[in-house]
Amino acid sequence: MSNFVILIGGPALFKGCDKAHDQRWSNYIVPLQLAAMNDLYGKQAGEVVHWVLYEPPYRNRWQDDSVITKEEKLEDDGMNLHSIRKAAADKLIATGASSYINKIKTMANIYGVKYKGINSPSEFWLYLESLVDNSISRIWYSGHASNNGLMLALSHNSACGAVAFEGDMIKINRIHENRRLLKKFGKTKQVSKFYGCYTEGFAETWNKVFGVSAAGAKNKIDFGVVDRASNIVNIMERIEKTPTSTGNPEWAVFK
Amino acid sequence: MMPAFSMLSCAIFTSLLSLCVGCNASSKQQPELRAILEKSFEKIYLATNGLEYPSSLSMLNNCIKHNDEGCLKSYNEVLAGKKMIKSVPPVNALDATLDIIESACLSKDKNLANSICYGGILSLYFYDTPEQDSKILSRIKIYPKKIKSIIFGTDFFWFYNRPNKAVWINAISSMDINWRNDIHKQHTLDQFNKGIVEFKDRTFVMK
Repeated sequence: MSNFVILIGGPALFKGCDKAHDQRWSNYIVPLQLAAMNDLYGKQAGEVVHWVLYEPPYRNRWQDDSVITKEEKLEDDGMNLHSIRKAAADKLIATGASSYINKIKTMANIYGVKYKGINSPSEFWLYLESLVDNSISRIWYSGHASNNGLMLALSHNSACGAVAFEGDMIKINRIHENRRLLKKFGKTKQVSKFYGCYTEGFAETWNKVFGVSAAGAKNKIDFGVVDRASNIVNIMERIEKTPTSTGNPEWAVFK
Repeated sequence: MMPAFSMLSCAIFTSLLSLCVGCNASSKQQPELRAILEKSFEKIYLATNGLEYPSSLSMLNNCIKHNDEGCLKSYNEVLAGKKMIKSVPPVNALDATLDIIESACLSKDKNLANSICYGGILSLYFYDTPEQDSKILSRIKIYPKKIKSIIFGTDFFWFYNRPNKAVWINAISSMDINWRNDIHKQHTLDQFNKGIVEFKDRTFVMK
């Protein structure tokens, strides 16, 4: 048996002032859901897929989307889309889900994926540590990132600039600090892939420290390509190859 | 209409004028200075934790080539923050910065505990004379353990431009800090042995 671990970051709260990020809560889940549905993981015999979800942003977003507070009722609904987001949350409830996290857990169950919720980035390393030695075949990441590291959640400053709080990040030097986990990685030709903007440096360090193939983007990637017409059928490949506002993602593989 | 940057310059000038009237006043008595610095810390925080900030020259060139709005906006915000900090007389600004770090880093408010705390620590890069360096170290030594651990819990560019590296390495080696493990501690100490020239392609350290 081997373990294919996918770490999933989360969205910011919806901000009418930021049209470029997280208009939808599900940006980092849908590609993984489609990949599971269409067998795009390229699962090997005996490979178990794990979804390790960073839960705080999904909890916060659900709270923000599913309830319209008294203060929010006074705000411009056209700008903040309170009604639309509330209606979408109600629709999700009508399907039997009780929250975004509950919906994701249900999805994982449907596709035979092992679910693990975490509340701090350090729990990701602890989860890897809990796995049997030589059993990790590969790691994927789906979420926000910068060339400083993975951003498991996103916030906005007072000028509506998209930022990550320090406590929501896995910075590149943390890979070195966790090099004791080298023994957890089996001999494998599978590629660990970091689906986030500017993850090339993260992938390169991952490759150096853990001695496994790893890939990331030199430039931005766009999870929104899920909804756009494309002649690339494989959704993960589409994310790797579709140009964005900074040009081609320039997906880089370190072997 | 007055351009945004001119308005900002005017605000800084007006505040500095009022600061000079009471030059001997402690930073705690200068709310204008504090407001300017906090605003600038929020801006420069983008350089380490901003989603779109082009942290290297090659990234910046790519942003310019594609005229990427988000990336250029983030770059200009950091540039404006740096200018704001440099506009304040360092003798006033450093004391105030060290005060702000102490209060913001212990705050329960997430924006203060992130943008202002980490932005403030990041701004120490701009104080690299021996006198300023000595003042910073003396103050850090008496900060609570939690703040020391925040300061040395991540990488900051000012670790590379200290005028007296040996003093820092010696002090940090015996400081009471929550090191995550030995690798973390060694990595931190190693940074003080590096020179800022190694990071000359980083946009934050460029003029």
